[in-house]
This record gives sequence, C-alpha cells and structure tokens, in this order.
Amino acid sequence: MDVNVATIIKVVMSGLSYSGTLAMLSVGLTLIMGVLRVMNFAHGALLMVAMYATYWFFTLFNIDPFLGLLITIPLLFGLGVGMQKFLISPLKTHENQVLVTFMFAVLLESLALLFWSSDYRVVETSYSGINIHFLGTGISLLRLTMIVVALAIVGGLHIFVKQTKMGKSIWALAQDPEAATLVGINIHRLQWFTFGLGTAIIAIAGAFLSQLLATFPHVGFHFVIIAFVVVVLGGFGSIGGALLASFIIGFITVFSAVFIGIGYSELVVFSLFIVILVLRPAGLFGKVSL
Amino acid sequence: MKKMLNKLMVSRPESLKVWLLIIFFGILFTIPLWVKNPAILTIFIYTFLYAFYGASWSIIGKYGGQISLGHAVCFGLGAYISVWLHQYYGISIWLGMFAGGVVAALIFLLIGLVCFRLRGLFFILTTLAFAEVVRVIFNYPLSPLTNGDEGIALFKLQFMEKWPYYFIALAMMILVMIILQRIEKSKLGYYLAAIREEQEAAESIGINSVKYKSIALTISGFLSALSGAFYVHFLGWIGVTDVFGIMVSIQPIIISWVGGSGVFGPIIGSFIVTPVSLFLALLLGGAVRGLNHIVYAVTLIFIVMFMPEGVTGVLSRKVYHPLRKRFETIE
Amino acid sequence: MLLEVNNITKAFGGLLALNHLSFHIEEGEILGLIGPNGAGKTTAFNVISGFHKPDSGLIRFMGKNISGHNASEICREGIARTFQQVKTFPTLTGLDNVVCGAFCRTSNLEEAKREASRTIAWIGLDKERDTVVKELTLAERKLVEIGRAVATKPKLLLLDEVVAGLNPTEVDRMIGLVREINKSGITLIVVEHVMKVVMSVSDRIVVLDRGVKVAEGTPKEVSENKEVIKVYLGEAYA
Repeated sequence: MDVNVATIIKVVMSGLSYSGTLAMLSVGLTLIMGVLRVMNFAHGALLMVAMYATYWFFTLFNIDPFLGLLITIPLLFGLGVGMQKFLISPLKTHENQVLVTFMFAVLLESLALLFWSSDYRVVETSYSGINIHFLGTGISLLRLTMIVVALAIVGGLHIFVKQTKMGKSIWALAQDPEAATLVGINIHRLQWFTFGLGTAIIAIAGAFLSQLLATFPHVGFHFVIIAFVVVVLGGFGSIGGALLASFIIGFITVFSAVFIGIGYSELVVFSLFIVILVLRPAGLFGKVSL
Repeated sequence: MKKMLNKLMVSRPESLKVWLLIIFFGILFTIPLWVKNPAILTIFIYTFLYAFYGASWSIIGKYGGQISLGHAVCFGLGAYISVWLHQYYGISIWLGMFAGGVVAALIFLLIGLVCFRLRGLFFILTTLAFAEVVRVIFNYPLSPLTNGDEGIALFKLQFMEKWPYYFIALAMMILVMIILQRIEKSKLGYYLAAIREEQEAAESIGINSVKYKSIALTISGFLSALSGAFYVHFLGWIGVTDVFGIMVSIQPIIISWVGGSGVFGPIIGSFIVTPVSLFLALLLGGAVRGLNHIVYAVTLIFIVMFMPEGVTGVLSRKVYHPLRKRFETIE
Repeated sequence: MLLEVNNITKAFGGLLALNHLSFHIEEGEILGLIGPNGAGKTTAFNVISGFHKPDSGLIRFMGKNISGHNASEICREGIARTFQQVKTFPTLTGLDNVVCGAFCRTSNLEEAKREASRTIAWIGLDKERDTVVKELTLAERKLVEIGRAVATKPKLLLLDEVVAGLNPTEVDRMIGLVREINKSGITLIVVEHVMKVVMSVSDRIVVLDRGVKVAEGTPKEVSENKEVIKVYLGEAYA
C-alpha cells in the first residue's frame, strides 16, 4: 500500500472523525452508566432513529439536517426519558434493565427494517461534499466540523457538571449515590434527566452521520458495542476518560483496518477490551467500585 | 368419578407430575408412527432442539444468574467445527459435535474466569462483544472457509427421512432435562442458588463464586455447541449469520424467560415459542421482514417487565402450590 | 494463639477505619469486641474474614498468614462469620441454607444433608427446616445463618450483632446457643452493642474506638476502665 502524505492525511482524518463519533456516543453513555449503573444497549439503536429521522425530514420536507436538530434533539431526549421512566426504573435488577434496553434496541431495529427495509439511505446536502484543500489533498469540511463539534460537546458537558447546579448534582450522584441522597438531591429527576441528556447528544451525532455514512437499520449495532468498550476503558462516569478512550480506540480501529485488514479491527479492539478487564477494569479514570 | 380421581391424586401432586410426564413423553415417542407430514415433524424437531438450546443457556442464564448475550458463539462454533471436521477430514458428525463442544466450552471457560471476578454487567457486555467479533471474523477474514452468508450446502446429509432426526432431538431434550435435574440436586446446583441469592454470604461459607459460575458456563457452552451442530446437519446448510447472528443469541433467552426457571421451564418455553415463531416465519416469510424479531422483542420485554418468573413460575404460584396446600389439608 | 491481628490498617478513601489495630484470641475463648458506632468493629470482621484486604499489617490464623486471602478461602481455612443484616438465602428452605454451609466440607449431597440436619436439630430449628427462609422471623433467620456458618465446621466464628432486633426471650436463647457453640470447641469473636450480652458471654473484651484498641481485659476490668467510660459516655463520667 502506498504510504504518502495523502494516505496519511486520509487515515488521520478517518481516525479523528471516528473518534469524534465515538466521543459523542460514549460521553452520554458514560454518564448514564455512572449515574444509573445501567448499560443502555439501545444507544446505538437510538442513533439509528436519529439518522432516519434526519433522513426523512430532509427527504420529505427538505429540512436541513442541522435545522432538523430542533426536532430530533427533543425527540431523542424524550425517547431517553421515556425509556428510563417506563422500561428501566420499574425493573429491580441491573441485569434485567440491560436485557430490556437490549431488546428495545432489537425492537427499534426490526421496526426500521419493517418500515424502511434494509436499503441504504444517504443524506446529501449542498455542502456534504465540500472539501478543504490541505497539503495536496481534500479534507471533508463536514468531518472537520463534526470533530470540532464533538470536542465542543465534551467540553460543554464538562463545564455543565462542574459549574451548574444540576450538573454538579449529577456528578455527585455518579460519584456516590448514597451520599447524594443524604444531601437531599432528587435522584429520580436527575436519573431521567441524565438519560435524556445522554440520548439527546445522539441526535447531534445523527445529523452528521446521516450525511457521512449510510443509514440502515443495523447501523447502530456496531457503534454501541464499541462505545461500551470506550466507556469501560475510560472509566464509568468519567467524561475526560470517555474522550481520551474514544481517541485511543478510534485510532486503533482505523489503523488495524488499514494495516491489518477489514474484519480484524474488531478483534484487536476486543483483545484490548479483555486486557483492560484483566488488568484494570475500572478503566483509566473510573471511580465506580467493582 | 370425582371420588376416583381424588383417590388417584391423593398420593400428593408429586405423583401427578410423574404421571403427566409419562403420558407426555409417551405421546411424543409415538408421534412419528402416526404423523407422516414432514412439516409437522420438522416443527417438533425444532421445538426439541430449541428446548435443548434454551435449557443449555439456562444453566448459566437462570441457574447461574448471569445473562449471556453471546451464546451464538457456542452454537456457531459447534456448527462450523463439526461441519469442517466432517467435510474435510471425514470425521464422524458425533465426534465433530463433541469437538465443537469442547472448543466452545474452553473459550467460554476463559471468558468466565476473566469476567466473573467483576460485576455481572461486564459479563453481559463481553459476551455480546465477543459474539459480534466472532461473527465478523467468520464473515470476512475466514470467508474462503465459510463462504460468508452464502454458506455451504452439506451435500452429505446423514439421514434422508425426518424421523431419525426426530428421535435424536427428542433424546437430546430428555438428556438435557436429566442434566438440569442432576445439577439442581448437586453441590453445583446448591452453590449456584446461593451465589444467585446472596453472593457475599455464599463467599462467607466457602463458595468460590468465580469457580462455580465458570463451571456452569463451561457446561452451558458445551451443550449449546451440540445444538448448533445438530441444527446445521438437520438443515443441510451452514451460513455465517444463520449460526452466529444476534437472533441465535436471543433465541435461548426468550425460550428460558417465557418458560421460566427449573427443569421444565425451557421445555414449556420452547413448546410455546418455537411453533409460533415457525408459523410466523412460514406464513409471512419474505413479505413482512423482521416481524418475527418484533414479536420476539415485544414478548421478551413484556415477560421481563411483567412476568419474570415465566410460565412455570406462574403455574407454580397459581396451580401447584394451592393444589399442594389442598392435599396437605386433606391428609 | 488461634488468631493474631497484628498492626492492621485499613482506610477507605479519606476515612481511616482501622489504625494499627492489634489484638489476639486464644483457642476456646469467647472474645467480645465492643466500641461506639464507627469504631471499626465490622471493618475488623471484614478484614479478618477476607472481605477487605488490609492496607498494611498482618493476620495470622493458626500460625498461618491469611492476610490478603479472599473470603471463600478463609472460610475453608476455618473462619466463618455472620452478617449484621442477616444474609440468608431467601428462597431456600432453612435446611437447604445449612446444606450450602455443609457442602464446604463434603461434595456429597446425602452427607451434606445429614450434617445439615444434625446442625439444624442442635440449633433447635427442626420445626422450621422445610420453611422457605423469607417466611421466617428475624430470630429464626439469625439462627439459620448461624447454623449455616457452623455447618462449615469453623475453628473460629465471628458473630456480628447477633442479638440486634431480638426480644428478651430470643436474646436469652441466643446467649445460650453462643455458649453451646463455644462448648463444642468453636472459638468466638462477638461484636455487640447490648452491654448485658457482651459482659455475660465474653471471657475477654477488646474495646475499639476510631479504629484503635483503647482497652482490653476481663469484663469486670473493662467496665471499670476510665478510658472505656470516656469513650462511651464522654469525659465528664470518667
């Protein structure tokens, strides 16, 4: 394979944008994990919902994906809150909750398959294809924007949990649920808000990915598994950990796909996952006890 | 008449249970004699097979209290290893099944040893991730050997008729019921119950929970691989997604949950779920994609939320125990 | 010396639960472990029984260093315990709970059942043996938990607040049982808040406060010890 400047830039951009996607997905997931101790396996399916919603608003009503966020963000937030209130909190054990979120994901994907078939759909706006010229090759403007936005979201979330009252309560809840109740924090409200917040971020990822990737029913499945590996590596509840882990896993995935071969990147990431479980299950910055 | 029936049943509901079993299996044994329709026999065969698979899963999923989302790995490995050994090395299918079982058992043993030190959620995630990794490997890098989703047709079918498969599957189902019963009344069974109910207390009385959960997982993996091997040799075709796909992992879960815990749970579960899903697949087939999956998802969500004890749990509460109390007062 | 706790320190985050704690127990004794809330009694139990690893120091049982061993190993080595919030197996019968304990020393179901039956009869739970434990009273569940621990044939048994929540009749019955267990050759460490019980049942008492041993001696000695009075009632009473 020809290794020149153009390929290097392509690989780096691939790694960056994949990492950015993972960051947007895992940062919400890690908060949900830290606050609720629930593995939301529907996270990927919700991404699919966001992507389809964006696609249909664009295709049927000509609504620009980013304008569509005005609808998809509340939609995803509502779905998240609904899941937490109706599917998750009625259940008593974490394992049952996980099983239900997983089956909900299967339900969403099957419904999508039923209504919209497995055809690939792509959103092409007037700006989807714009490239910036850099060092002799073109870099997708959209990808670049997505990376910046992903970083902004992580940064914003960080400010939120450190500076705002609600954010600090969520942070406290993730660190120590018992102590948080003692200090008078309303757990239930925070639980569904955190869930909704995590899923709302998915909407933003959806606006980008509907243009960068193909939309199809099982698009979220691969993402949710990798996102969880990221969350484990970063440590449950750690935003900074999720960001760092996104880049580590993102680049490892892209490099393995490029230098070893398609189909091996999953194996490499999974092997890394097992190593983490053996050596340091709490992850890089995790504080949640085993 | 009522008096006579009462007299029959007065020797406790336990013997009623035994009578019901004898009648039930008696009927099952004689079915191939008067049912010749291959489609109906096929439904029975799949019902027995999935009862076996569901029961195998329940060893770790119900008895062990650890939900596995990755049993497709065992199913698929059992399938591919037995096919490869048979097609390329002429090794008998029975031996091939056994070999597949051993490989699956070893792999899952390793997973257990790594994950069971940690919280249950890690195990669920690991099994899910592993199943996906294996599916991708068999689909892309190994596709010269597997032919991906186009699959390999097994030109050497073991039996031309249905009835040998019927009796093998029935025997497997009975075998797994015996295995479950033996586990329940053994140190392993008691220990798994203890771990499930209060893991800390279990440790305090000398129970190494990692060890015993891993043993349960290993047995479960071995048996699940056998069901995969049977499946492909009955079907006559093997394809990657057909044996490694996510539905293969979900199948035993829904059967175990619908049926409930215990020896009879997966059997009842399969007798309910399998014929229904086969009908749905046959009737709707290509016309309505994914409907089968939708029904599965909705059913499982419903059961987990509203009927987690499954059919056996409900029967036990509403029929068996009141019956038992009634007979206790009569005596 | 059956058990030697030597200079054990255990901290949780910023909280120092055990601070260079040392004490020992001789074979055949009943040692009372007392102290105000938060003194570290249950943490000491958790460290001895293998549920927590000490940050430093060592624990010797029958001459062997057991610090850092995990809970199930330590049980097999001969130390059993009960829990403050009774942790019996709720959907199992009283007998089956004890059978689980008996399996520590055998792999045969019949033998385990026999052992468990003997233990249940000895504890006085024959009537409740086939009842599912979640339907039993608190006192009965405590007895089941003790029976289960005893079935593991321990040399040392740690009882954590075994009379908490019991009425006077049940307390007396429990004290009697503790003495019976001791007579059968099992050494005991008893954590208790109810003074009357500790004083009447212990051969020796160790008093903890904030992770440190502040006094040690016979019940009479300890009850007259100025430090102990100060720790419980404050300076004014010392």
